[in-house]
Amino acid sequence: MREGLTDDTSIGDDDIVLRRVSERAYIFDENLGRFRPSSQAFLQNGPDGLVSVYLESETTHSAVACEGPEPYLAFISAGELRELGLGIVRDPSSGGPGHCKITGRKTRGMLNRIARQAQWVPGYAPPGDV
Amino acid sequence: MSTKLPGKQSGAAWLKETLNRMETLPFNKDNWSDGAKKTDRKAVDHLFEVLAQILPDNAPAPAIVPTWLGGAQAEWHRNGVNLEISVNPDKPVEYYFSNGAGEWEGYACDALAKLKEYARSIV
Repeated sequence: MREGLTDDTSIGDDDIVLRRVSERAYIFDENLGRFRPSSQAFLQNGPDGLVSVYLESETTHSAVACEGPEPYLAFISAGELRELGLGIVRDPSSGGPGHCKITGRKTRGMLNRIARQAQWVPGYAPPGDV
Repeated sequence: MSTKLPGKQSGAAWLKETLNRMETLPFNKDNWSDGAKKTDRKAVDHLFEVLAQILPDNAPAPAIVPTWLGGAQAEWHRNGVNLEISVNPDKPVEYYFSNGAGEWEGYACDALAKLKEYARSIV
């Protein structure tokens, strides 16, 4: 963890965080042999430059999907984000229950690793991904 | 797209499909992702100019995705490498490349020779 990085340690490393993914922001990765989110799916989606995610344990898949226009849901563990030097903070005021934001400076390399490690939530995957 | 190509690339394998994919970007639609801006055509032209400079004729067409800020990203993930080239409106073109030996990122304007080398690895 980077010094000075904002991180909520009440969120465990095994906690799953969900990210909504637009139908325009996923690609087929020939190296992995599967569809996955583009790194662009994990770039900012707010004026603060931070990325919105949801704690799976504090909300439902359908509630997250209803929060925005993106039809798909990807997930990654909080621990995987922390291993990249990033943090997670709760932000229930702007996105409802379970809403959090990923903190820390995100390099393109970090975004790529997040996108490659992310998995689809069953029932919220794009066509062709089973 | 309004960009003119160097003559040798007018028959490039990647060309037609790339243009087709670029035309599907949300040029007239804000909020295609939560709060995202519609795609700026000048930014896409800028991206295309860089692709025309670095891609060999036999390169495969990239996946094209919009960026949240109104730009676009071209990306390939094949042959064990990852190559992404992206631009946002009024910003320089950026790149990311990784292979088994490491990863590199920066501005395309400073690295055209490297990008040509990276582009050969996706063929």
